[in-house]
Amino acid sequence: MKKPEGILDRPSVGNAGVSRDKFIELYEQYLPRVFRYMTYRVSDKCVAEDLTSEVFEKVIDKFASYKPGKSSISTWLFTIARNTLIDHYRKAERKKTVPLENIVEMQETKSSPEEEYERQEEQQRLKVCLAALSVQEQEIVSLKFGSELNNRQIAGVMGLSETNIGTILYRSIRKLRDCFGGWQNG
Amino acid sequence: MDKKDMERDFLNNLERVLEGKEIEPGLNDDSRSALDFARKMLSLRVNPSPLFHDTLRNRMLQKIEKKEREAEHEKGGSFWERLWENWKRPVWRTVTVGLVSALVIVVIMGYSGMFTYFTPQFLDEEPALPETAQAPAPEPAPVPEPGPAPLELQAPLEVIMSTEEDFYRAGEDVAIEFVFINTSDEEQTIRPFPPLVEITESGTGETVRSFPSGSTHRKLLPGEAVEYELNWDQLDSQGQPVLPGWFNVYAKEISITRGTSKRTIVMSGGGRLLISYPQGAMELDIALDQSQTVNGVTVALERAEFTEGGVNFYAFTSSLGRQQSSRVEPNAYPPPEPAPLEPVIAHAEYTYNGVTKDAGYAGFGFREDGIELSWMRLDPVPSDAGELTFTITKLGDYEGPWEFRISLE
Repeated sequence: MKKPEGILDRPSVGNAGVSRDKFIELYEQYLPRVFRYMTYRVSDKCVAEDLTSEVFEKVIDKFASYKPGKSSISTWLFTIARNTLIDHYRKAERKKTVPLENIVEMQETKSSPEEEYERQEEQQRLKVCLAALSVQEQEIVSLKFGSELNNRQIAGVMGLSETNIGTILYRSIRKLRDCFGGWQNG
Repeated sequence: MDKKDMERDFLNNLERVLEGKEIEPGLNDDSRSALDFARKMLSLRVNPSPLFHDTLRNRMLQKIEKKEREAEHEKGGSFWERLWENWKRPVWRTVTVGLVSALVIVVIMGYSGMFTYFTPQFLDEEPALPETAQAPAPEPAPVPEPGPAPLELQAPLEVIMSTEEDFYRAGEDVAIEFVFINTSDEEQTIRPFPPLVEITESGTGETVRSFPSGSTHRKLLPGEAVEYELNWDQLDSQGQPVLPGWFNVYAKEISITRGTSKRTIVMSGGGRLLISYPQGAMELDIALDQSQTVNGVTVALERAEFTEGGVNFYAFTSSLGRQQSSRVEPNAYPPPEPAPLEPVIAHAEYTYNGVTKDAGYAGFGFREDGIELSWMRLDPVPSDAGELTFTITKLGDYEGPWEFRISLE
């Protein structure tokens, strides 16, 4: 049996990296997950799009250095995503960007039906609670909920043990619940 | 129940929540409320917009193409191209001019009879090179560095989709085979088996046909594979034949349970297939120089590539992309730096033989004087199409159409 990709599969040239068809396969599988990871970590959708674009640019540039035996593709890709985000926050720090919590609070809420308004407010509050966690906790929650990685894969990205990831997740979700509950009751 | 057990139960149930399943009974209230909250956290999941999906995809494909071109260029072009490149270097130019001059002098001297009376003995003998002057043995050809290893998605289950043919003509039955391989070191159960298979249009992502899942499950030992074959008659779910083009074929929502673990992973996998026109696809590479100005915005369609595997369009605009800056005096000195280029959103469609297809959103690249737009890997065009109309419907904040007629005769 032949693979259908054969018709257009231009093999990688020298060390140019990933072929188009392989990239499309990778892109279709991972774009939503990388984008969701970013949206969990930054409040502005446009910034999330920019960071997602940056990740896939790097995937093409660095693909030749990917070693399948060393890590799975998801671990490799989300390590790039995580480093991209770290760089983003470093740059934001240098530019004295307004902290995330304030950005979320400052977002303009469009006039909408009451339910939609409540939903938007709830989402903003969830983001505020997420931003109140430590950076490590935020990263793990985002990789779990946004990127749909399992704990072993998150451990690979974060350089921690799988048991540690489980413990941090357990603790973080309870913290988030308490933060959110405090807002609802307050 | 100690803290470790609570944590383990919590994490097992968290996986269930993420898979959209119910929480198991028997959990304490604290864990249950935290898991209910985890469900709420899922509401923060946002999918990328189709616009962003298409634009980024095209831009990345453009980048890959550029890298491929650069790599080919680095490997060197033809012999004559390399000769020309060397000739451009001053040292080689001097050497070449010297050699050619010497050759011309020798030829002139030969014709003028200057060598007639001088026949050195060595010309009659077998040429013998002194040991020291022997031509060195040719260096063994360098073994090319292996390219990057093929991409391996290291999921516990590998899903391979394949077809008998590279492509199918319209109306032919398409035999699709899926192979599911247990790539882990544990026994796995996949359910349902066979899984749901969906065929979607590559361009629009719309589902054209679904093959429902079975109701059984399948156990796979480490390394074991199982096959699933299905036949697609190229009809959509309404019984109408689909238009030729690229289609994604995916086995979806495959639940994998490893060993005796209660944890389940849900995944999907598949590939693409091409339905071609019965008369074959247009194969042409046309350099175009058409430009259109609409609402003060000028766009040039520079090139169109037609291959059996798809169509690419390349356009350029210098009218858009720069941020509006405050008015600058015409004679200002020093002249201000031009504002940086900003990406623009461009949507297009193309029409041939009465069929209109969505080309989606363009990828973009920057030149010094403007922005390159590209629509890549679109569905192929039949070989008998006499004309094609490529229409850019929207460019940034401007509505088109910028319409380009391309003769394919």
